[in-house]
Amino acid sequence: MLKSILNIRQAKRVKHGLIISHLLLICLSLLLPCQATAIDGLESRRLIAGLELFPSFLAADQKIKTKQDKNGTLQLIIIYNNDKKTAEKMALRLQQIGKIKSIPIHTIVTQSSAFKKSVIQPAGIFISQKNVLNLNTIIQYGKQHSIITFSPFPQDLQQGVTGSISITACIRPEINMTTLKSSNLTMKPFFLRISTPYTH
Amino acid sequence: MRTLLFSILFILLSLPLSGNAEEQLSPEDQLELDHLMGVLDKHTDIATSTKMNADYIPGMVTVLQGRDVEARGKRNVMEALTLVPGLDISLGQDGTPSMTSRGIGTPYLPATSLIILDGISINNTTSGTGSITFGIPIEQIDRIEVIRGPGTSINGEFAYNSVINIITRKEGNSIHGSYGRFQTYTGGGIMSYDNPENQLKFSLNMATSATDSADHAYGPDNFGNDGNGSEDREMDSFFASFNYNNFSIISSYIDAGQGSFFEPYPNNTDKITTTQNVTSIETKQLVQPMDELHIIFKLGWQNNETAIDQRRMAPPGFTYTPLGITYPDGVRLGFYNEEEKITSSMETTWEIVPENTATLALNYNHTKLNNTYIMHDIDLVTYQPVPWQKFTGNDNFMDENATRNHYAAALQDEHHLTESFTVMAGVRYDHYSDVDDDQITPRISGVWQPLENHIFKFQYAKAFRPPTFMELTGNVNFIQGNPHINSEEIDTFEIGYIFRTDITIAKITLFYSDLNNLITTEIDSTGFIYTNNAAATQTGFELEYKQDILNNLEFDGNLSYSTTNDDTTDEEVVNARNWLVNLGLTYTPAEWTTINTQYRYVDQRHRADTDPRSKLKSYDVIDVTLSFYPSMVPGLTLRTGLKNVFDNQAYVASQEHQFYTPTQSADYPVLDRFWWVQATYDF
Repeated sequence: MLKSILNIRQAKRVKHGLIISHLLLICLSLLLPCQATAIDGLESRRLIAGLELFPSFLAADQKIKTKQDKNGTLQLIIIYNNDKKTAEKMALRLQQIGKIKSIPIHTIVTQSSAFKKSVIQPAGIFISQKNVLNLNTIIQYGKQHSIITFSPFPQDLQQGVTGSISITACIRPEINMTTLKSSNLTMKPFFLRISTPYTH
Repeated sequence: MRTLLFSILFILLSLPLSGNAEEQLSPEDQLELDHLMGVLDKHTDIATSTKMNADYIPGMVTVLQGRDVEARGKRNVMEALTLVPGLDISLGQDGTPSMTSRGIGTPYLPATSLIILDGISINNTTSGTGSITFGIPIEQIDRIEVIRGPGTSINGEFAYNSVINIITRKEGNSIHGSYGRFQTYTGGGIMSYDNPENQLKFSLNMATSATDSADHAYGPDNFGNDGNGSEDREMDSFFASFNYNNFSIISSYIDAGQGSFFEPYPNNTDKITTTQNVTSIETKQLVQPMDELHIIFKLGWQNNETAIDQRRMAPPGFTYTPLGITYPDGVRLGFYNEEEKITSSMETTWEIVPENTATLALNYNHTKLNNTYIMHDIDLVTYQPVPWQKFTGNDNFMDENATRNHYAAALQDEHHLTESFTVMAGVRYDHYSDVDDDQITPRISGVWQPLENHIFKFQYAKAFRPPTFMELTGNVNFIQGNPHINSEEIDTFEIGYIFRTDITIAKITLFYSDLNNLITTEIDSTGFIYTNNAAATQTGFELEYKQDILNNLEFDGNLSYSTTNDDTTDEEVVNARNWLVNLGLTYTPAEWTTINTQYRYVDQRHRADTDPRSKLKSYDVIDVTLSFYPSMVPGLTLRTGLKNVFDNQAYVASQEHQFYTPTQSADYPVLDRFWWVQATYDF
């Protein structure tokens, strides 16, 4: 087994020139406008923790029942930049919880560049990638329509999304108090009590 | 014994703590709150076990994220570890990596660190080292957690001066390949399956890598010859995991080979002369009789093989002047060693009250040598040349029937005394069937966060390193084992301060360690023999700083200072370096690219007090790495980099020899300017 691996290795050495030519060709052909996609283990764990926390944020919204659509469903948008596959996985996991406060939910995956406030009336927005385009538009939309915008990435909280995750000795929900106030959102007291306020 | 009693008393005193009064909630809100707390507890446990919240829990921990380290141009575990404050890795004359932690490494501590790979200790019992893991390509790594300082009470034997916990990637699907100067390449891939509904997961992670290296010119050696080193390296690494409900299997296979590096010239620059492979498999079953009680049973097997083929000790035609013996074919040495270990453990974690969690761990390990022999072409009694042959039994280099039974018990308690003050106390007992003394190693550490941005840490920990089979049963006539030597011991005191804001993280750690019973050699009537006759101290500090200068510009770095004192010589310990510096600048001019520049400085290294040469030269290097994330192919990452931009030189210290004239050869150059390209595709 090992010898066969070593034989393969010898063969690979002969082809080094070919490999490097291919790699250089790939590099040259792809030096075009592009965006970051790689997710490391840390981001992945943040994402999953955020996804499991997001329904609790929505359940703590005292006016969540007024945010149903005409079919009596809570529409939840998952925003992505270019990693649609991860966003779809997140949407599927979120959809599996079925209901929030006994209200059926429906998840929709939307590219950040295509986010249009007129398309649907969401009850909450979840950011599934770092550095999404149009983040300010999304934040402003959340404020204007009194809906929760949530991102597991701390820099988005600093930018103005409503909620995120605080990672200290214990994991806690983190709330941008300025955004909360300007969004006219009212959260349940027990939720506020255990959350970490972000006030900068 | 006093420290043991103190530790137990501390644990018992810290157990009871009443909960806070709950506010009145509606049944619906109470249900919601219970669910939320369950989610938060679950993710707090994940954050703690993955060290996401390392700054807020007791202990001095550095976590390197694989993808971040890749973006800094580090190509394997060894290069990644140089980013950790206080750590440096250099090569020995035979190319074996040797780690220095806070100034102390070889020769006193051949196994200065516990190396854990996916939860399994890799340190072997024959020599104590686990450095085979240092060549694992960085593309296979999820993260590396480094405990700076002792960690025996939590992690067990060999956690003497630091703990390196390497966690391989087990999620996602990807392929990767890289190519660089000196025909250096890596190729591999990761495949995983995750079905949360059925709680079924498995992953395969494999890679192959090799380099011809520069084969640097060096000399003159101890025999007055010049030549080229034999610096080839190659490695195959394979990791697999399987999880179903509460049952899991984890396994790893690493096969590494390397040239003879800087043996006396002439040597074969294309030959792999040293090979090592480690195969591990461990099964784990979690039993949870109630929410607050977790019991984990583990059963593992590990096989560790090392072979050295015809390492040259003296060149053809060498004459040993004192005896007037000439060796027409020179003097060559080789050996083979196969060690097998069976491990078992039970770890019980009990959340007594929400503020207090206690852990009890019991271990039993059995190690034995399966096949061990030495080969050489010199009669070790008469020193006359003999045909190249294998020696076993009484002529073997160590007791080929060596076995070890190791029993251990550890108790630990983590207590949140207040919202902002957490204390962890633990004590561990170890007994070895082949070592005279038993070890009791206590640890007390705490973290206090009086204000949002300010965190203080403290720790006292005792640790030990048991003698290896070589040190206990060595049978080479010029270095004899000693069955009565005891474990090396260390007592370390640390205090730390962390300042954290959204854009700034600053940390300082002060440490003092007292090292006793260090295993070294002394001369008796039969030659060199291992004894516990050395002691040393290490004192110093580590500064770490991270600053978001602009939205797209980040600076980070660390600066470490340590000073050591060898009690025998009243000088710095051999190989110690006082200053280590790492500086990094990451610029993201657009979302599709990042540029990273890393600077590293390694101070002069001290030599033995008997060595008249000046200290081994200091060196510094600058690396530049460019990363691209093409939107046309989501998941594709392209990287290229130039390491050691200014082509500075670093050296491996040549050892002093007792038997040759001159007693020192020239130091060996090991550093080059190095370009590389890499592609990773996640799908």
